[in-house]
Amino acid sequence: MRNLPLVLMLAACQPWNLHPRGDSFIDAPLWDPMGAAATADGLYIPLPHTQGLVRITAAGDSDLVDLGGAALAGIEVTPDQQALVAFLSRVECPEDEDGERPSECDRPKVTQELSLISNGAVTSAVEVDPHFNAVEFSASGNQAVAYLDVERELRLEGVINLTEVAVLDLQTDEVESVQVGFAAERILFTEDDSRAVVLSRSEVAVLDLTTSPPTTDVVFPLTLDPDSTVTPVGVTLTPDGRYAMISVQGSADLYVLDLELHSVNIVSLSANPSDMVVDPGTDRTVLTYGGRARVDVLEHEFFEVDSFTLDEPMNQIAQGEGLAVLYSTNSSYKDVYRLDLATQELVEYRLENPAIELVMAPTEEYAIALTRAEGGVGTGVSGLYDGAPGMEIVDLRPGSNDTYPYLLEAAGLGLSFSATETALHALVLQQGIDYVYQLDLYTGDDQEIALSVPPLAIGSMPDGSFFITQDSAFGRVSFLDPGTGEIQEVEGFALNNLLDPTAPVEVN
Amino acid sequence: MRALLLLLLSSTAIAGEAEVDFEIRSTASSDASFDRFNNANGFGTWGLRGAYPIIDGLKVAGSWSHGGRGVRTHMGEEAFFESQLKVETFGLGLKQSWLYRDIIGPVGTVQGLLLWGTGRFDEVPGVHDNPGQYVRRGTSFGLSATAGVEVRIPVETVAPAASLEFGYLTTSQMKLGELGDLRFGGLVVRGAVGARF
Amino acid sequence: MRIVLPSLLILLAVGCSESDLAGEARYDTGFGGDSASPNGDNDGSEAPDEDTDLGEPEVEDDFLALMPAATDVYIFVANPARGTITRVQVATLAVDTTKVGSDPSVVLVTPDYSTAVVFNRGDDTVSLVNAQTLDQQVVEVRQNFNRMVLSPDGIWAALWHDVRAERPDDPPTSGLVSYNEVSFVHIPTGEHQPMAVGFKPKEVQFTPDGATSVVVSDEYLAVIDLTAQALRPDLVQVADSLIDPPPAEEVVVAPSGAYAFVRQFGADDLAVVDLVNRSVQRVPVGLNPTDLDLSPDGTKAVVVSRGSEELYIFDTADPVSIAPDVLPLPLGEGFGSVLFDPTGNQAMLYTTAAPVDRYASWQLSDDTITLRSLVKPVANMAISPTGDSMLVFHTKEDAPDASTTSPFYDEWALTLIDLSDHRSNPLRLPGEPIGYANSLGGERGYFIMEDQPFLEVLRYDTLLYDEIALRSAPRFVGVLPDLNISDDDVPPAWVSQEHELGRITFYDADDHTAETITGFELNSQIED
Repeated sequence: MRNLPLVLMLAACQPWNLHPRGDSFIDAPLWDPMGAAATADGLYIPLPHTQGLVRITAAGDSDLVDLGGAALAGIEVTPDQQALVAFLSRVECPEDEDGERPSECDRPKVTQELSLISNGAVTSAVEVDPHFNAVEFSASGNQAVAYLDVERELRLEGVINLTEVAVLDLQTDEVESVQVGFAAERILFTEDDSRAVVLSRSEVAVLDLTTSPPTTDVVFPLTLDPDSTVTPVGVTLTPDGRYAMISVQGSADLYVLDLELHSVNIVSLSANPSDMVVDPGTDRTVLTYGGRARVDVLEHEFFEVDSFTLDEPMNQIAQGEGLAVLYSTNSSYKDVYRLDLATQELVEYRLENPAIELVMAPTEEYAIALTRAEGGVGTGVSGLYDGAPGMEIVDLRPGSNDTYPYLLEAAGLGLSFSATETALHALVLQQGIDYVYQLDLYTGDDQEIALSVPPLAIGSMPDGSFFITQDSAFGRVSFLDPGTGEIQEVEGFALNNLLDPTAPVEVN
Repeated sequence: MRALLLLLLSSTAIAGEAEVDFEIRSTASSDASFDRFNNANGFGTWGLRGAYPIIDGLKVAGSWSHGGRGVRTHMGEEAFFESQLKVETFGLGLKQSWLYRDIIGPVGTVQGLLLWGTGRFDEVPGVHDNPGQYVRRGTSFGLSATAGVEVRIPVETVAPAASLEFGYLTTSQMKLGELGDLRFGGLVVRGAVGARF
Repeated sequence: MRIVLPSLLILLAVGCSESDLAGEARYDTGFGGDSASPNGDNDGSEAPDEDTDLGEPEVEDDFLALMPAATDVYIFVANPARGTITRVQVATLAVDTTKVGSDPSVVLVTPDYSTAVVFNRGDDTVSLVNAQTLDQQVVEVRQNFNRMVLSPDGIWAALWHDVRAERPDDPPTSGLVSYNEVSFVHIPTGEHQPMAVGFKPKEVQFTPDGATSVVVSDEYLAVIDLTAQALRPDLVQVADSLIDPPPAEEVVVAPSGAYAFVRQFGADDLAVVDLVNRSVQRVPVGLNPTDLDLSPDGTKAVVVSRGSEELYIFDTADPVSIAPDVLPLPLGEGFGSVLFDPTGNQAMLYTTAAPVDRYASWQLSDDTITLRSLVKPVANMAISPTGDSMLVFHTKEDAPDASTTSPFYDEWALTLIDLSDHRSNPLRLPGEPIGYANSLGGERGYFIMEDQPFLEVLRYDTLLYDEIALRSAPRFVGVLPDLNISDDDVPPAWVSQEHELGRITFYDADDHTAETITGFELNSQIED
C-alpha cells in the first residue's frame, strides 16, 4: 500500500501506455505482405493505405519510391526480374483552354500509367486506359499486354470497351489498343514473342506482335451457338508454339488451336481438368481432375490421350523435368503420385494427412507436402499425426515410394528450397511461430532460425536468398541467407507517409 | 478629468503585477495528418504561463503546455494498431491587459512558439516491449495571438485571477521522420486560473 | 503415322489412275439412306396368271444422301444442320470449313478431285466448290430434287427427284410442284440447263465417255446429248403402253455407249434402246426381271428374272441380234439380285425382297451355280475390290424356319466370306450397320453401326475383326483412295461421328493408330 503511489506514478510514466481516446478506421492495411515483388535491386512492397510503394534491400535500407504524385494500383515483376512494372493512377483535371491543368474542377479525370521502376525510381511511363489492372509479359520481357482482370480490384469509370487490350512495347514505350474478344481474361505469349494468345469469352484471339502496330492475326470461336457461353479458364502452349491448348469452364473439352493452320480440334478429356501442365522435354501435357480419379497425358502430335486410373482424384500438379507429381488439396484425399512422363511409370505415395501445398525441390529428388490436421479422434501415432499439422517429405527418387512425416507446431504457411552442390535445404514457415525451420534433406540436420515476429510468407530473391514477410502492421521483412543462416531484418517501412497519404483515387 | 486620471493611475499600479496561471488550451488542427492521432480536429493541452511586467500593463509572458492524443486504428475486422502524439509547447511573448478597477478587463497575448512532438506507434499494444514499437520526434515553430477577458479578485498580496482568451495559432510543419509532416493551425481557446502578485 | 501426299502429284496421278476402281471405291460405300420404298405403282395390277412373282422389288442401296466425298488429298463432309461443308486434309489433318447453301444433303467430288459439288436441299442450289481454295459458285436448280450424280468425266451434274429416295425430313413443298424435271449443271462454268423428261424419273446414267446421258422414267428414256450447246431430251418411249406403264426401275448403259438397257418391274422383257438411232427393241427376259447389272468387263448385261427363276445374259455389243444365254436359277429360292465380283470370276445371287437365308455363287467360267447357306437373310452384299472377300449384311428379321435358339435370332448380323472357298465368319452385331467401306487392296473392310461408337475393322485374310473405339456415334465411313499403289502403305479409313461441332477419325491400319479431329465446324467462323 505504501508503494501504491510509486506504482501508480510509474504506470503513469510508462510511455507505451498510449491511452487511445477513440477509434479510427482505415480500409486498407499499411502494407501488403503477400504482394511483395522481388527484383534484382530489392524487394518492392505495396503500401495500400498510402497507395505508395517502398523498396527495401537486404542491406537494411528502405526507400519510398517517388511515384510523382500518382497512386499505386498494382505491380508486376518483369520476367527477368530486373525491373518492376507498376500501374499508377492519377486524378487530374483536364487541361483548360490555356493548356493549364487546374487543381480543382467539377469532373476530374482518372488517368493511368504503366511505369517501369528500377533502382527505386520510375524510369519510364506509358499511358494506358484506367480500367486495365493486369499485365502479362512476353518471355523476353520486351512486350507486355495490359488487360482487365475481373478477379482483381476494379477501377471502372466512364464508358469502357471491354473488348480491347493494350499491347505495349517496353523498349520503345509504344502502346496500341487491339480488339480482341469480350472480357479478355488470360494472355499467353509464344516463346519467340511473335504472338500473344488472348482468351476471351467464347473466343480466342491471336495477336501478331511482329507487325507495327500489332494486329489481330486470327480469332478462333469456341462455340457456334450465340446462346451458349464458353469460358476459357486455362491455356498452355505446346513447346513448339504451334498449338494452344485451352481448357474451358465446366467442360471436359480441351480446345487445341492450330496457330499456324488456323484450325480447331477439340480433344475429349476424362472430365473438366483442374490442373494442366506442359512438359517440354517429353512434349506432353499432363491433366488432372478434381472430380475423377484419373490423370491424362496428352501427346502433341495426334493429341491422343493416355489415361491412367488413380485411387483418388488429384487436383494439382507439381511439375519437374519429365516428371509430374500429382496431389490433392481436398481434405478427403491423401495420395500423392509420381508420374514419369518418359516411361509413364506411376508411383503412388500415401500421406498421413491431407496436403495443403506441395513443393518440389529444385533437384527433384524430394518434394515436401505441408499437411493439415485432420481433427480426428485417433489413438497412437496415427492419432498424433491426425490431430496435428505436419510436413511430409516425399522421396521422388526412382525406386522409392517412401514418405517421411514430421509434426509441425502449427499449420505450415510457406515452403521454399535452397540447393547447393552439397546441401538441399527446406525452409518451412509455420503460422504464428516466430522461427524458420531449416532442414537439410541430405543430412537431416535442422535448425530453427529465429524471427522477431511470426512469418506470413516466404519468397526467393534473384540472388538466391529468401525474403520472409512477417506479421507486423508497420512492415517487417527478414532476408535470409540460407547458406549462413543469417537474418537481416528490415522493419517499420509501412510507416512511410502514414501521416500524409496520397489522395486516394476513388472511382465509383 | 481627475477621475479619469485616477482610474488610469490605479490601472497602471495593478498592471505591474507578476502572474502565474494554470491554463488549459484547445487548438484546432484541421490538418489531415492529425487524423492518425485524434478523431476530433482539436488538440487540448494543459500547462503553465507566467508573466512579468515590463511597463504599463505590458508583460513578458512565457508558457509551457503539454498535450497528448491517441487513437486505435482498425484495419479491417481484426488488425489494429495504436498511435499517440504528445506535444510540448514552449511559448514566449508579450501580454497586455487593461483592468477596470483591477477587476475585469480585456487582455491580449502574442507568443512565439516552439513545439516538440513525439509520435508513438505500437502494433501490439497489449505487449510491452514488443518489436513493433516506433517513436518519431520532431519540432516546429509557431505563433499564437489571443485576446479575451481577464477577471481579478482584488486581494492584497496574492490576487486570484482567471482569464478566457480566443485567438489563432499557426505552426510550421513538424516532421515526424518518415511518417510525414504535421502542423497545427486554427482557432485557439485558452482558459486560465492563476494568481497575481 | 501420317501419309504425306504432295498435292500436285496427286492431281496428276489421279488423272491416270484406275479411275473405275477408284470411282467404284469412292462409291463403294453403302447404306447412305433409307431403303427404297416399294414402288407405288406396284399395286398388283399385273397379269397374275403368268407372273407368279408378285413380291417386292429387290432393294438396292444406291442412295448416297449425305455421304461424304473422298478425294486424294481431302475429305469433304457435309453438315446439313449448319449449312457447311468441311474439308479435311488427311496428310496434315488441316481442316477448313466453308458455308454452302441450306441443308447440304449430297456432296460429290469430280474424278479429277478438283471440285466438290454440293447439293443444297434446303434452298435448291448447287455449290461448286474448288477443292483447293474453297472458292465456290452457287447455281440455282429446279425445286424439290433429292438426288444428284456426276458424269464420269466430271463435267456435268444431274439432279432430279426420285420418289424412291424421299425421306420424312424432306423440305415441304409449296406452290407448283413438278415430278418430271431434271437439272443439268455444267460444272466448269456453272451453267444450269433444266428440262422436263418423263414422269417420275428414276435414274440418270451416262455413257462412259460422258457425252450422253439417259434418264429413265416409267414411260420414256430421255436421251440427252451432253456435247450440244443447248441440252434437250430426246424422249424414247420404252413402255409398251403409255397408260399405266410398268414402273421403270433401272437403266444400264453399255460400255460402248451404243445401248441402254431399261428394266421395268413386273414386265417380261427388257427395253434395249439404241442410243444412236433412238430405236427401242424389246427382248424377252422371263418373268419379272428384278435386277440388271453389267459384268465387270462390260461385255455382258445380266438380268435376274425372279419370276421365272432365270438368268438372262446379253451381249452388250449386240443385245438384240445375239440371243441371250439363259441360266436356270435354283428353284424356289426367289433370288432376284446379282452382284459381280470386280474381277469377273464369279457373281453372287441372292434376294433382299424376302427373308431367305441363302445365296448362290455363280462361277462365270463354267456357269456353275452353287447354293450356299447363311445364318440370316440378306440385307445387302458387298465384295471387296479385289474380289477375294465379301461382306453379307443381314436383316434383323429371320427366315421363317430359323431356330429361335440361334445366337443370331432377332439380332443384327454380318458375315465375312472368303470367296476363294466361301469360308465364312458370321458375326452378331450390337446394332444396325449403317455404312461400310472396303480398302482398295482388298485387305480390309470397315463398317459402322447405329449408335455404336466403334469402327469395326475386318481383316479379310483371316476373317477376323478389330474394334476401334470412337468418341461418339458414327455417321459415315469411307476409305481414302490409294494414289501411290507402289508403296506398301494402306490408306487410312475415316469415319465421321456425331458431334455438334463436327468429329472425324482417321484410322491407319498399318500402325493401328487413330487420329481424331473434333470441332472443325468452328473453323467456318475463324476470322483470319
